[in-house]
Amino acid sequence: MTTTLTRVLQLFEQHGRPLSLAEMARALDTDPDIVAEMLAYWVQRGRLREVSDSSGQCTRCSGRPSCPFVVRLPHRYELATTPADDPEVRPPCSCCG
Amino acid sequence: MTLTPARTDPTLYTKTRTFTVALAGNPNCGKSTIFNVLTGARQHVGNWPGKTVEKHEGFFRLAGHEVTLVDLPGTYSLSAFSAEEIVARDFILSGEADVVVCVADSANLARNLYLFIQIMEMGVPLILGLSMADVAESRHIRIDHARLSHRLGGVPVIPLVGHKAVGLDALKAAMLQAIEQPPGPPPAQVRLAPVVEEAIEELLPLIKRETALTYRYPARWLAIKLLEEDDPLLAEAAAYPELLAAVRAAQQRIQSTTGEEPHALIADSRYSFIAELLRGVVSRPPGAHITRSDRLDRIVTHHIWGVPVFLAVMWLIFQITANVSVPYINWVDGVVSGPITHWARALLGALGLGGGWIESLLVEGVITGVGGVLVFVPVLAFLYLAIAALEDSGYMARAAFVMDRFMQKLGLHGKSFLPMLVGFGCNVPAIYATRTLENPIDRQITGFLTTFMSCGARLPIYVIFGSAFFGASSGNLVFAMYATGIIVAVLTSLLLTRVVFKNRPIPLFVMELPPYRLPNLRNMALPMWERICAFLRQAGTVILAASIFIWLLLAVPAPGAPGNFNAVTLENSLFGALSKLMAPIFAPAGFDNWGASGALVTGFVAKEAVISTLSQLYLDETPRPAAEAAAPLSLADDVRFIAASFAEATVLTLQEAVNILPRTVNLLPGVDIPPVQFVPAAAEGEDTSALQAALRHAFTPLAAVAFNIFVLLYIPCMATTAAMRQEFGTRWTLYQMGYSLGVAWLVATLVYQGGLLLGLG
Repeated sequence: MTTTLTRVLQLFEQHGRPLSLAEMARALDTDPDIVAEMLAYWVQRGRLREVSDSSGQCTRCSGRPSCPFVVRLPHRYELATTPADDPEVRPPCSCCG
Repeated sequence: MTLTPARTDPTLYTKTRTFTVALAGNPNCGKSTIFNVLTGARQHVGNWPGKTVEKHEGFFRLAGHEVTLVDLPGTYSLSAFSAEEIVARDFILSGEADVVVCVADSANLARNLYLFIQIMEMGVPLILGLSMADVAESRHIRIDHARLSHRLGGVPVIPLVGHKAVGLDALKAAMLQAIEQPPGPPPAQVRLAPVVEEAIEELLPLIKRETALTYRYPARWLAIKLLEEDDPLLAEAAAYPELLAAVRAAQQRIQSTTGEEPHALIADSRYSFIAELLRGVVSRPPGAHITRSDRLDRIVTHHIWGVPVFLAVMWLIFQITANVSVPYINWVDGVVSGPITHWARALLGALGLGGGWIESLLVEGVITGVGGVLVFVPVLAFLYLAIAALEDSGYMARAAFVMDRFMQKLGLHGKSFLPMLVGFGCNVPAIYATRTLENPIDRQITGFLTTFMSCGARLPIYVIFGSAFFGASSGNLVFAMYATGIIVAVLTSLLLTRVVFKNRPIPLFVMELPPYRLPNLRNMALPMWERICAFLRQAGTVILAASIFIWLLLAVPAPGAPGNFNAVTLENSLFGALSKLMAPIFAPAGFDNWGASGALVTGFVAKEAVISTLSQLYLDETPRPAAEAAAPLSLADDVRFIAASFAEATVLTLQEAVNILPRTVNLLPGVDIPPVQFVPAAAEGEDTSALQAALRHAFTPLAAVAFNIFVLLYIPCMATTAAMRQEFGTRWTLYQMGYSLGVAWLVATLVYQGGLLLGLG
């Protein structure tokens, strides 16, 4: 017996290319809204990692919380195989003063 | 946690005239709007005891009762993973609330019901408020509220439109009924997997014999949470060894029987319950499950058409950026080289400092250098506005998704395009953005490629050369440069992934694509402003320093050359001598003039410095265009000139914006729509900037293209190089610098020599 929730993780392990949420919902034959909830569930449980647009930004640019050159992108999810980078230890960048 | 027996004492429901209602819901579900409409100005904001989470309380009267409305923090679940979840959960469990109103977004009901189900499991008096009912209606989503209420065991279901106060009377009536009448039978219950239900049955007697636990928690709810591995509750259960041992044994049995972790099995049952609950309750018109976004995505994210669509969008953006901004570029150039230069000279003259090296430093060093870069604020404003429009419309997410797939085909991690996309703005954060890749080799490769993405600082160079040599077609040059950067990155990635680093595992990711929407002007203006400010800070610091340094090198005669400090020809200056040493290297690429090679050296400091250096070098030697030479002398004339030229630039900008359409359509074979002409052509022709005129003297069109290609591909700026060294080490950075210099020279030479062979020189 494999639950849909577990099949979400299996898709991450087995699928060969990036998927949109809608594609994953079709693959699981489940409502996309429920799949999104399931992704959030696994993020909370530490099995998936949410890679947001702010993941790459430096944090000490002129004392501002984010670099203006970082493009805003929607959430991505990936298997959390290694601990995520700690934003607090990121070095400053010199792109904006 | 406060312990009150309110819910268990039925007499209170008829005697007490002060009640508490809790408002729960997901973030952004419309809960706060309902809170504000219900309570008006009667609100109080504080903190939850011992937490940094804000506590919002409001008050209103309901049929003679005084009601305290507590706006719980927005949460997606009650799993005790965050302070907000713990606050919301503890408050609901405390029994302080006589009734809980769970607000769920009507348009995203499936996503919002998980929290509702968890509250329902607690067995508290509950109302389901379906907010944003108007949004759901506009999307033709129909909800059978009566059937939903019936399936939930009689829980009142109230459709709401918070900002229009629709449904609030029904909500208040439901509240009144809930607080005046003792709790009825428990609402519907999620049926969990049989093996989990068995485990719960085993745990219930152990929980029920511990009154300290049952006083605080509903027994079934506690059994479920313990099986779900709820850390705070397991810590409490440690005081009851028999219970804890039974929980562990049950968890093991569930896992060995089903192969599933208990928490996943329980959560999956909740999701199945939600899916079953909504079947036949929520209906959409035929085909409505395929939204307009879905239909667009069939083309935009198509595995074949996605990349051409992306390139077409990029092409359009560079048409807008390069052509529409030109009138304002010329306006800023006219203001800087006209009135501002004039005022600076007049001020220095009044201070008795005119005519000497100080005037030369201020006018030819600072104003010409920094001003030469400031001229490009309009072009960057248009670029950043276009990027913000793509972000806000939802297309940027599709672009990243399509290109990620493309990257994966090249053997790169799908996430590699994110740093490269950031690189279009600035390479420095792009280098740091490689940290989203956990594999060090993926990071190294992506960092290597990122520098080929044309950053915003390089754009002014293409624009000035494009408008100088190709006029209205300058957008094509800009697009060609960006496309060349991507092509070189792709070829380099093939080299690295197929030859240098082979057989790396490529993991999958899933991206949540937002629905398309019309870009909001405010959402676009703010990031544009922030990026322009960052650019101006750069101009005020690094470019200023570079301009002064270049002026100094230009003012000092080379050893053995004729002349004195600030009285030497550019060619005999130290800068001229150093640049001349390098110039022959670029002869095969067609730009062996020493000014070009000198500008490339300063471009290593910052790419913007290429333009400031060219301005300092060429504007000193080239006569100004007529409009500039005839610059007015009085302050009133200066102000009139600034205002009149701004008005003309605005009209020309509108003209260029309108002409994007005919220019685009004219690309089709056999189509020739004439562009509109708001301003007489002669007046437009006179508006050529001084630097553009100077560049036409120093470069041929083919050499200009080769120079732009070299600027695109050669070593990135100092800040990017430092970031690379910090992230990937000295050796990898030196490899990148050597490789990019070699590729830049090779491609520039191939383009120039190939162009000569084709007779384009």
